[in-house]
Amino acid sequence: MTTHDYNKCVDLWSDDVYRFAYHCHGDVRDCEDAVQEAYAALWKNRDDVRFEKAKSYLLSVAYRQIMKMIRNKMTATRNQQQITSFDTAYSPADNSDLKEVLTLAMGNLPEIQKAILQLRDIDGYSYKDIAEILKISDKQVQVYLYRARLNMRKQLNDNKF
Amino acid sequence: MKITEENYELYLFQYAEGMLSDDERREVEAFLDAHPDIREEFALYDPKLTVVGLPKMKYEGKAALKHNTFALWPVLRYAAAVLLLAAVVAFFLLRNGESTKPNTPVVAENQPQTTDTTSSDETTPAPQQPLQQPIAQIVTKEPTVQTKNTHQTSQHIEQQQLAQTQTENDKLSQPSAQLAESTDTPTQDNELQGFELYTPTPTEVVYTNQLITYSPYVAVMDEDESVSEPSRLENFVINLGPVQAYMEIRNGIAYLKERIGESDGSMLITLFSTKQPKE
Repeated sequence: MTTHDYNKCVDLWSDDVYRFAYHCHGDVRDCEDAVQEAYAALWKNRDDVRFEKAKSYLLSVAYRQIMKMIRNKMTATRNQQQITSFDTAYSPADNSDLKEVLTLAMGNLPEIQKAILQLRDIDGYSYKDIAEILKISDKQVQVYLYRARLNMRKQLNDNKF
Repeated sequence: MKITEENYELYLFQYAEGMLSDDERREVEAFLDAHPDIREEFALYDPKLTVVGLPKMKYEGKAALKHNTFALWPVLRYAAAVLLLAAVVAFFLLRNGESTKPNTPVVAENQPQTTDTTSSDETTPAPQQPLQQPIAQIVTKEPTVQTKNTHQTSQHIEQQQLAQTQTENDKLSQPSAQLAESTDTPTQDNELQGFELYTPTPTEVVYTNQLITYSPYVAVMDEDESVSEPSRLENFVINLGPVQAYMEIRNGIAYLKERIGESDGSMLITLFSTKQPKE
């Protein structure tokens, strides 16, 4: 990959990588760090990564970076913050903003489910590609995707969406 | 396939996505019939539930992520390599330049005193002056005049002598006449002024291994200091000894060149014929 191709990767996919990291974790600073780490790794390994595989490589590095940051933080504190934000941000009587509802619903999912949902529904990756990005098997991808959609539906139903 | 409570999620997902065969679908339906709680949970599953509606986000730090297309490090590497190569080349060029410098000419003590009778020798000291430039290393031993190419020189002498018969006789007469006319102060007894014998001091010994090539008429002495081939000049100078004869001839040539601008063997013969040999 040339420098020109690398810069092209920045223009094309930096927003998607940032969105992916944000909806997996939610912390802006951590997500910015994750994006920088992802592109630093891409630059370092630009001779080994083809342009066609650059986006999946960036998402994979960003996800591992997010998981690393989450493991370094207290899980209880994170869960408490997400539930609070969900309760205060959402009003059962007001469901006009679906995007906000979805965002809030995703906030309560485990990171890997959030990642798989985004990779599948937004980025359109196949089960095989998602497995490669997240370093799991394709059957595990299908299982996590089942659980993610099931949990999303349960939350929406429980909050009278 | 075998559906269990540990692996049913995968098969339910594949069932919902339409990834199973007819037989596999019947098997899943049988499992759901056997497990009503799981069937109730599966009823909530919506395969069309998507998060594609998530709000898009914009990353503000794109400029910081990019790299310059003009990579400085490779240029620096190449520049460093070029500079290093240039330094190596310059080092070898300077080194070769110093090695090819001509050596400082050493005042070689054994340098041959080649005198061309037809060319003017301005560095030859005046006859009245003692020998300034040593022609050989001064050593404390018997003076010997060693020469090289003795055979070749002797052949040349024979050829010269055979070729010049009547011509030599004419030359002998002419230089004498010219010399008599050109001398400033001719004496009645034909003694030439300004021509003095070189008389080496008793302690001064001259050793040389150079060929005496003043003229074809010069005697060639071999290593045993005996006269190998007599010449016309021998009759005049041989009784002086080889070293003194050498000096005598040398001074004679210098004198002739100074007086008339040229010298050759016949002139020397004429010159010496006017001198009484020193006893």
